Amino acid sequence: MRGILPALVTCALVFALVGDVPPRISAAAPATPDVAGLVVSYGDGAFSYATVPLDGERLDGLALLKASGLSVLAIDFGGYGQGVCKIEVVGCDVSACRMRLCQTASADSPFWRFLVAGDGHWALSPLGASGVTAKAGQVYGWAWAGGTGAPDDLPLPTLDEVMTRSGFERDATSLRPALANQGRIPGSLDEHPAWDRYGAAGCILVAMGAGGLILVRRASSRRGEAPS
Amino acid sequence: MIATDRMPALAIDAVTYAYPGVDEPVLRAVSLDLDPASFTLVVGASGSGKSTLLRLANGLVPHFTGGRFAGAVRVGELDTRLSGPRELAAAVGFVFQDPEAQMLTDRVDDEIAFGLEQAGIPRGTMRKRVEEALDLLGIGHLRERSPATLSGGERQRVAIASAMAMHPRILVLDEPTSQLDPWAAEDVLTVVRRLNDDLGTTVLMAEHRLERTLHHADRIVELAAPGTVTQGGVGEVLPRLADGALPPVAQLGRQAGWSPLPLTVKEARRAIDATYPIGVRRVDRLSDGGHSTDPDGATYPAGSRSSPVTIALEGVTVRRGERDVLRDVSLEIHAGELVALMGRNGSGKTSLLRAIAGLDEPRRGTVAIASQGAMRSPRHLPGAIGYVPQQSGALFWHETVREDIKFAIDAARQRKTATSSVEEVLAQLGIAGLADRHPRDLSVGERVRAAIAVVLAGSPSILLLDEPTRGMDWRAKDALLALLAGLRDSGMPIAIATHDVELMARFADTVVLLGDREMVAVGPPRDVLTGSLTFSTQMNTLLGGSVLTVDDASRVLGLGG
Amino acid sequence: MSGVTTFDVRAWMVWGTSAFLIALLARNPFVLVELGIVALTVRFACVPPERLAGIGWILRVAPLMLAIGVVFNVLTVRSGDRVLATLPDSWPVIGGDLTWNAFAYGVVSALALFVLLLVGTTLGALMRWIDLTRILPQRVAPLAVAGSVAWVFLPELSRSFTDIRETMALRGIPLRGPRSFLPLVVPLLAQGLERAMTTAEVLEARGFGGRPVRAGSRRAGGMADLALIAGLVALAAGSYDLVSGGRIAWPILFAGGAAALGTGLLRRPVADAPRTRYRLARWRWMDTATCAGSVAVAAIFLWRWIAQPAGLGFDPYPHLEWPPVDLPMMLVMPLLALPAAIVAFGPGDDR
Repeated sequence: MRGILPALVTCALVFALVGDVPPRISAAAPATPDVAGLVVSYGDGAFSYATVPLDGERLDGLALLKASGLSVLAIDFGGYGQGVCKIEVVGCDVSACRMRLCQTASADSPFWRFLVAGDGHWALSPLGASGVTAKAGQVYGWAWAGGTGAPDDLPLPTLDEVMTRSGFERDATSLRPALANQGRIPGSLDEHPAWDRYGAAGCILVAMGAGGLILVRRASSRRGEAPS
Repeated sequence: MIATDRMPALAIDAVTYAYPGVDEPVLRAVSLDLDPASFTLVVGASGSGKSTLLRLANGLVPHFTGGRFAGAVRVGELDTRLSGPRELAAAVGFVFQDPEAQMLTDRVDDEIAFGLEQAGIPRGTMRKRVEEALDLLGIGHLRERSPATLSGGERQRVAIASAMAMHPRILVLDEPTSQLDPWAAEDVLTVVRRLNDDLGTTVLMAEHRLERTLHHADRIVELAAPGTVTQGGVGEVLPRLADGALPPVAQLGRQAGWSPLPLTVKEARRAIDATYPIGVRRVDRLSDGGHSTDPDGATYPAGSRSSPVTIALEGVTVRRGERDVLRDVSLEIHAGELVALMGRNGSGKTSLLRAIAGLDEPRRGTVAIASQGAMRSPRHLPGAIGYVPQQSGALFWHETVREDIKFAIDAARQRKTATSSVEEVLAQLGIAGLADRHPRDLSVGERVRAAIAVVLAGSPSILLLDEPTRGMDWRAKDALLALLAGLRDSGMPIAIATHDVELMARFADTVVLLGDREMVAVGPPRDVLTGSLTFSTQMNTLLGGSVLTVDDASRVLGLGG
Repeated sequence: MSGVTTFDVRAWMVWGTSAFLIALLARNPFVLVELGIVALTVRFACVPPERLAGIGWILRVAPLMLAIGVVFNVLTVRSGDRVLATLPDSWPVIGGDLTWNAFAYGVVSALALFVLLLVGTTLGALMRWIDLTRILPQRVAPLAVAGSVAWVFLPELSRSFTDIRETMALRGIPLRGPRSFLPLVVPLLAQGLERAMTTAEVLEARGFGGRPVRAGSRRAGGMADLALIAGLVALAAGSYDLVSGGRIAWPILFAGGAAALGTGLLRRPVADAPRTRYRLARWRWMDTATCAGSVAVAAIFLWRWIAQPAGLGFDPYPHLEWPPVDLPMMLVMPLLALPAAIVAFGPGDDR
């Protein structure tokens, strides 16, 4: 138990230090609401746009993603922060994610990467999503793609465009996150298996159990009768 | 090349050997020649190097054990420095102490065939040899059985059969009967004797139970502590052996001045008939000093029956798995009483000890131990029960014996029951010399003493021992029993499960005889160990009546004993 | 007609490979439970009673495995739609959502491990050590010695554990907390090792490994060594591929690697020692049937694994739902229980 306390203290210090990026106060547009924009590219021309009000809170890149309303599967990698395995249904499952963040041996295998919109181009954030605090007026991106850097087909909208595409209500008294999809997200859920399939599965299991019992009893009794 | 009769079967030439990491050699310039078809017995205290000497014959020393080796060992044409155990396996058959650990397969005939397969014997020959080995040892009816279902004696016979199937020139046995009850032991020794007599197999055997083996042997090799040997024919060496090393009939013979010393009851009887042609007056009841007499005529040592009951079992039945291992046993053990539990292997001795220790919950009946004025279940008295199991490995957790004893004393201190220091315990058991050794490096006899030391260090109020005298030579046994007698005299109740009839005849206050998991008889040794065909001492078999020990026999014969 | 049926050990090896393949790769609870039933059926029907060591310890370890699997997943994966509890984000390491999704995944992971243990112990009970050593070539005899020592060592461990626990209780040394288990580790290992050493000594004394004989050409030796090296490299590459998430390359690499390794080992002409067999291994129709059934199941499994992997897995993220049902797989799995059916209804060994 003694080792945990220093580890916890160290972690706390690291989080405090890393998270402490002061927000840049934009002098330009007084009308800029306290929101951040999000663009998600699933590949195959499917996108999601989201606008997330910050409400003065400090959200890191991952929390921003989660606050947008998208379903996110993220795994803790300890000191490396968290990694995103799946957004909506695009991505990979937990075990593949744990091994190499969905990547396989080929160089083009896709994974979720976090990007920050800059002057006319997307930039990879060196600290990853967990290391960046969302700033008001900034657009962030997530892309499911292979290779390095931003994929070519990732659009680079301004915050206004994001707010429009996501259907954000600028004039509402309480700001709520807005989310809209464009294009069909690949790999959407299969239809729920019908209940008769579960019934079949259940019947199979019960039959196996009963059959197994019969076989075991018959085998034991045969062994008992065998001349020794 | 055919070995001529002049060539010794085994020639050990000035061998000095030290185990790896140990400075002191265990054997020093040992030379030994075994004539073909001889039966040689190796005797010596535990740790004196008997096992090492035996393992010279098949190359386990030094090929398996490592260490520093000087000298030469030759088996016929083979030199063990050049040929390892694999080459020697066909010439030297080796039977180990532990019947359980020797079984490699799960069918008796596979077990016997194993060595033959490894040697590449053609299949036809192999099948013939397996049949022969089964017949030779009389285990044909066991051929399809799994060794795990056999008794200890049967397993040792399978081990001997496996060795004999290789048609070895020498059969080496390392205390083959130490884990067996007296009947199984007798079986195995008879078989070995027959192999030597009928087949001319050279036999080299280490044994402690001299009363059973001396009359089979031609030569004795005695290993003394510094690693040297003395050897000679049985007749030559016997007179030089100490009293305690001799079987009771020989001890009696020495006192009576008979020459040659008798080795069997038959020889002793002849000597008696020769010395007392008129016959010996049978004394049916010997009086022992300080004994009280019960109304029904049984005598008990003073101070035991009248002292308070410390262990009480009432109708105890214990179940393990599918069967009862103990049935309806009722027994009372008093303070200051040394109780011997005797019976065949499988009769329930260990189960009884475990029930007393509280390790097995009885299905029926109660077990109660006296503690601070009340009788309580042993499960509620942690640390009060000292139990030395047959496999004592579980007692040793540290690098040295000293540390283990200290650990036990510390635990006792926490319970506020510690009464001794490490040095006192070491001195009590006479193992001060072993204190800094690793427990697993000790010989069997040494380890038992260390185990008892660790258990006693915990300051228990009762002591239970399961076969503590296995692997001990007579000196160690006597010392152990003297120690236990001392503890008994200070009031500790002691229960020992053992096969050693001679020893218990001298030391036990009460003998409990178990048969088929039930209690068959209970009483003082003079009642239980007399008049029995199988559980008697040699002296009782010789003279009958209530004679148990050599001292009794001396008195009856009017010797100055 | 006798009531006992024995199978060739090689048939069991094929069976075991198939069962292990499924136990290692599948995450679908239906498939896993079915495999567990198959393993138990085969175990109790086919293993003779004297070799049937208890599986009680697996049942005792199961709650621990469950706890570890659940806690690990719940604490490291913070996603999912069914939130169990929310700890403040400001708590380092453990702050954030704790979800039922992760809980379910942890349960299924523990189930997979449990079934793996069942399959493993069943296989261990089915195969006789002596038969295994008979099919291993003599050249790898030292390997077989090591293997047989391990074979003895593991069951000894559980016996030693019981002995030690009892001794502790008797001596009044309480087992409180994980700290007090530390002193157990050393004596436990030492006991098991001691017994294993005795076995090794007995093996040596009985001439295990035979007497080496020199034979064979240098060239053959060189080729054999090349095959050995190629096999090892292929296995290494296959392992890398498996770990980095590949799907098709690694089985090929493993198979090829194993074949090359086998060739290399078998073809080494140096230190060959002749060895004979007391009992000829008889390959009978029941062994063929067992192999065929196992291979069929493995083939179907691999087909489903490549064609529709989601059906054999369990993915509770982002939505917690019932796992999918792969009917072809579930319907073919009973073939793995064929040996049990043969023992129960077949003609038995000839006596």
